[in-house]
Amino acid sequence: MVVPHVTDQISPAIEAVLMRFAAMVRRVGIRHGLSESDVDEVFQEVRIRLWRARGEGSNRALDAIPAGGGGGPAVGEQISSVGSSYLYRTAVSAALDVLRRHRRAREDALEDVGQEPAAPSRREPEQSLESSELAQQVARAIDTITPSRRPVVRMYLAGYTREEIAALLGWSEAKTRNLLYRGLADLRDRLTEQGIGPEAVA
Amino acid sequence: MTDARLQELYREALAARSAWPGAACPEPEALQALVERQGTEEERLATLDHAESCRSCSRELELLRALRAGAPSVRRPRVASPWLVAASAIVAVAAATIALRSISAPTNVMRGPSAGGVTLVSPPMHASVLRWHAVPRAVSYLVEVMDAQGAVLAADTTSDTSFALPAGLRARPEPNEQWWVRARLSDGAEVRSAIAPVAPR
Repeated sequence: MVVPHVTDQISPAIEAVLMRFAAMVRRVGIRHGLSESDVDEVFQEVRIRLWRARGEGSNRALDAIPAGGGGGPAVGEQISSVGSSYLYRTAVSAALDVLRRHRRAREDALEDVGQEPAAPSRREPEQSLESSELAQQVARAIDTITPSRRPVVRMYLAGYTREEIAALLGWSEAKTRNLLYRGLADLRDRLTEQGIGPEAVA
Repeated sequence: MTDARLQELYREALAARSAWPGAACPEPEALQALVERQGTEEERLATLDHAESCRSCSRELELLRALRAGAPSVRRPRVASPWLVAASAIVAVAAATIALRSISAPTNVMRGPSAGGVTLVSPPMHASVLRWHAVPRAVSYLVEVMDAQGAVLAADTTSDTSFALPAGLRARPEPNEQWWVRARLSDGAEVRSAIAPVAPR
């Protein structure tokens, strides 16, 4: 289905809120590898849903946003908790649909090709052989640490801050820090047992 | 081995894995349940453990996590306790009193997007410091100054309730600069302010 110029069909105030929402999502996610195209796809889906709902008169939750609001900074303050909750739920629903669509497309591609494509490698073999083996040893060592600490360690090593980990899991900063440090200690113990200590790796 | 080296090696190990979902991958709804903190902690940890070891799921989780973190004034559901209800009543009375006062006397205070959010103090002309009101149970505040597109120009995490604008921003003020503050509470929850213009200053 082609829906041209969807942004023309929703009010400038809602579009302004959506743009700010999308900008925040990009800013939050960009540090952890989220692509702009993923965010854009979700928000285009959100616009289509709002456009359809407006046509059906069913998105009264958004009436709290002034139709002629223009898009200045005050719009963020004008949006009510009901309106923002509705937008968030719409965005989550759109994102889940996008993710399901991507999974189906990948499954279809796998069926067509008959095998899974190899993971890309940007390095020359001679450069990466030793390092890759070490990386795999680290990954295997993580698999063996205490389950309650393991996801925290994974998130931290993937680049998340303690605050982000605590927010996702609903933990206090102290609990997060405690489990992270214990998990990292577990990991270093496992690596030392394999002969990989501080002196073994630059 | 330093944390930085471990991070480098872990990312390298992840990059070598398939970017395609497998049979063990949780459904997108399970990832969303993790983001919404629904289900038992054991279930959420298991989902997270897989997601952060899988290129496909980690990307999907990040999209859902970023939606939650970037959503305008969405607060996580909390279980109300009796003292919290009483405290809420006191806050509601105080908020009503302040609202009545604000009708007759203009103020430089900008309210947060929802009750219990961070309340910003509107900067005066040519301000070099941004200020906000303390939030009960807050352990830290993340303050961010952004341009009109939401790109961060300056950011800081502090336990204080003020932020000194960097010299570069003070020297070249932009009319569309905005700022907001997110407070991290002692129970891990987060409340935030409205997004407000930095100018006039």
